[in-house]
Amino acid sequence: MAIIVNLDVMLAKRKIKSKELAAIIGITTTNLSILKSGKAKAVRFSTLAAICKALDCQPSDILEYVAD
Amino acid sequence: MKKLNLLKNIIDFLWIISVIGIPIALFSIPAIFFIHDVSQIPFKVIGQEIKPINFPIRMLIIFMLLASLILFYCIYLFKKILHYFQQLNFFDAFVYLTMNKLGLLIIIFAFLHTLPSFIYELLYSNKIKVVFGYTSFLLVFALGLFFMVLSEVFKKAGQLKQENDLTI
Repeated sequence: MAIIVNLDVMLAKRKIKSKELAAIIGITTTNLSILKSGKAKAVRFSTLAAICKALDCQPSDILEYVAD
Repeated sequence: MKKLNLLKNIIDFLWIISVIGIPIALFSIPAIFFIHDVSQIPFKVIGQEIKPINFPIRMLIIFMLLASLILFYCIYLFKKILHYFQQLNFFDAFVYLTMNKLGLLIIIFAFLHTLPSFIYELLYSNKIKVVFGYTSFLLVFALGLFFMVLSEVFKKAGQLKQENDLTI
């Protein structure tokens, strides 16, 4: 897929565990895992905003476009 | 879900009746081929009893029996689809694949059921009727196509559901 999710990198930088982030933003760990693995088909703005707020970052820090 | 339960009960009832008909049809196919004197058994095509039971007529009867076997199988497949619906598995791959198969079988049934009576009329009654309007062939054919279209719709709906499930 052309969009790469760099959530793992940001989690490592902020030293936050996936479980903690899932609890903060109010989604299940399964869904967060789907997002991290790049299997997600789409991300809601509300989820993206919650992630950015929790990790104190910009959407560009999490999402990256790579040409196929 | 009351309507679904009612439909399932009706189809279950039809299936129970079909279970009785399946061995009869299965036995009749070789019997018609190998028993020489079948003139004692009354066969009817489009409401008329057929008397000269020669080879082409035997073939027509076999076609009609095959059509009834296909119909029994269609009832079985429909019963299985309804079972999936009762379990709320509307978008399972089995459902749309079986619907497509069901549609195809209904179309084959429409041809197998109509052609023998048409050929019989053509060969033995020496008359060709052109009927405009609602004929059972057209309705059954349309029903088959409808199931195939419904299969496509369910396939698309399944994809949309999957995309929705994977939207975080």
